[in-house]
Amino acid sequence: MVAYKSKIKLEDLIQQFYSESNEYSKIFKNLDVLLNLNKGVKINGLILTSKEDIINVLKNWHFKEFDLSNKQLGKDIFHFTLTRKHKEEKLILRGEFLLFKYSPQNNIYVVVTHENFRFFNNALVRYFNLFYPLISRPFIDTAYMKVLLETYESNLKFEKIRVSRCVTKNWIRNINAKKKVGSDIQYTDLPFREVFDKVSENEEWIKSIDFNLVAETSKDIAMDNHVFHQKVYKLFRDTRFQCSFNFTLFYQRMIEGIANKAAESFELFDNRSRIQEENFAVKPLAIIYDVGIFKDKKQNIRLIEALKSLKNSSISVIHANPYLHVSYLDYRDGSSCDIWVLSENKISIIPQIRSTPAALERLCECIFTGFREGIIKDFKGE
Amino acid sequence: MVSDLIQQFRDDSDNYDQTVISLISFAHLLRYDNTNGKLKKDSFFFIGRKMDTSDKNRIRPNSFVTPDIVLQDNSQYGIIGEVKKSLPQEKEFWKKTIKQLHKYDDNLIGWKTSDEKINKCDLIFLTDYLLKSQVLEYLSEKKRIGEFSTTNKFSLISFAKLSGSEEKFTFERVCGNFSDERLNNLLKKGSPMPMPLEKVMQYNTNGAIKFYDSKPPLPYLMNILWQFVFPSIRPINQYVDEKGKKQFETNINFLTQELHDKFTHTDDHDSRQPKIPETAWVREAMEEFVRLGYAENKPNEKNSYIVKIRTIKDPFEKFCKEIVKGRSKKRGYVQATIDAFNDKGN
Repeated sequence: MVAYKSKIKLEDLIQQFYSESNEYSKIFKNLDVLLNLNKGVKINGLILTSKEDIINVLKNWHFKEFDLSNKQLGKDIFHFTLTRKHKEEKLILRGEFLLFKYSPQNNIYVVVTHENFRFFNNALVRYFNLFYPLISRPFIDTAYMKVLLETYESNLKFEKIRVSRCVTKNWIRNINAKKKVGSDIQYTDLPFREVFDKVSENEEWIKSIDFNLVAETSKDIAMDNHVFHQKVYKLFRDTRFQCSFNFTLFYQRMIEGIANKAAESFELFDNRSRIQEENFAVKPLAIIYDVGIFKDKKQNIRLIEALKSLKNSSISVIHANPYLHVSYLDYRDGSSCDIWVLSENKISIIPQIRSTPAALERLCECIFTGFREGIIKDFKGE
Repeated sequence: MVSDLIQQFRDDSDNYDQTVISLISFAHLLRYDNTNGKLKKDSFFFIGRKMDTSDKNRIRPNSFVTPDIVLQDNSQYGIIGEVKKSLPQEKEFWKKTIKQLHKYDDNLIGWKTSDEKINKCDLIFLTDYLLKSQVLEYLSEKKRIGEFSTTNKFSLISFAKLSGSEEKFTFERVCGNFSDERLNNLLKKGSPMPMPLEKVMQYNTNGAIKFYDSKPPLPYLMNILWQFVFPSIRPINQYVDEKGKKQFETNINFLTQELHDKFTHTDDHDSRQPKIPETAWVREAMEEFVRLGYAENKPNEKNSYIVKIRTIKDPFEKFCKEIVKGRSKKRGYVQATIDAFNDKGN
């Protein structure tokens, strides 16, 4: 009887979340209540960017495998039901999600759902990927993940962040190696700084990280006596996230940070097409490294290999040594650019006639994950 | 044999690309004002420009010439020059360059001044560092036997690509003097002047220049069309909803204009500027796309094409290979070699 009651309550709360979240404060409150029920519900979500109004984009495009219905709950808050039918795979996935605009930034949207990871990955994420480049997914690099966790922890009074699982990749320096990127999964229980230090030491990058909050009742108490919340958070490089406890805090400390970074990147990548510039002037970008990586000219070849690995793209190598000049094309939206390496610590990207923020984000992420993470800047005023 | 020809295409394209960069870098070096970090206000630079000759021109009187480089330092002084990154092995063909310099040794009309004339004009010949000794020797000999002489001051300038912590082009005055002391100090004899390529990229808003007044190698032009021009023709919405329709219509005039607007130096242009690239170059590239199966001629519409896009990982390499293989198959290796040589000569 007790179990029956709590089941009813969970469904009611889910129903309440999808029907009554007509204000931002109510979204967070409803999710907190849902997670507090302690019934194993996890909130999966992701960040999206779109230059156009995302609702119009979703309304204007229909894809064969997918059905979407929506209802506006409040200003910039929408409830959706998505169905994916795949005849050959005999697959039907149906689920609900909430989409809201990240305020006060333009172009950034947050998606949250209580549905399981299967629906989230195989229906929801796949559906939004079809809209590229009108809707695209931002990325966060390892350095920024650390910043987010630092910020999160600095606001905690009695708890520390500990990493329970970390998926890392490493750049294989040997240009003759068949595999260009290595992979590792670590199950651990370490303070996050230790994990990031190790990643940095090994020249790796983080694909995803699971972490939890460990309560410190007293500074003098040994680690063994700490109380574990057993509430796990998950953060992906491609800005997917999972939260199973205290959504409001997670939103304020993590999601807002990701969304702000996504907005910053969008602004940096936007309006680079030559077609919209007076006299078709170029607006270059640069990826800066803190080390003179290209001192070793073999790194030019590694960069070429990394670029070649990007699906639905092409590169033409005009000159490979000692300097590098390639032309790059993204077949997914017709964006293109020249890529130059003219100094030891910099990759110059010269966007061409068409250049979308989505394509530049994809290109930079390819360089970050396939070659090395760096800092992306406007080339002017270097 | 085939691989040699493919390599020839790669080298020619690289040479073409470097010639463009050297032209821009040289102009930038001479026009850049270090005191305010900007290009000199009253200076102009043209890659190829139709200039009128006088009745005293010893080669082509009362006609016109189109020098590779026209650099106006100010309203009183300018430089006119020829650029050759490579020269034929047979020195007999070098006479053509001397003839061109003689054509430019005149009070040419076509400057950006009120009467299109200029008080003082110098001549330069810009060539690769590896050729400087041979060219110097050749010109000295021709001068000695009276086959090369100029009324205007002449300088031989060499350029070289230099690697280090940053990539540079260096320019060196090998012989001769400028009329302008600033330039003599800037380009001292035997003292190469470096021009970091990143600086050129950084300050030159036209950093996407890819053509000069000379026919580019065929795969070089095809690559620019494929990588930069074709993709921008289809609207973005078409990419979202592709459903296999990866083709579009286009025509020679549109493509030529696109290449001209987006990939040539167009600053301060007027009617004296030659149309680069030439329509014939673009037509040849499009016909090659047709031959290789990437495009079709549109029925009953001359100069129009249907381009069929497919994913190619390295288009430049693929075009080089396919052009060479196609030519070899069709006409045999000997003819293909001759074509490659002619392409290089152009």
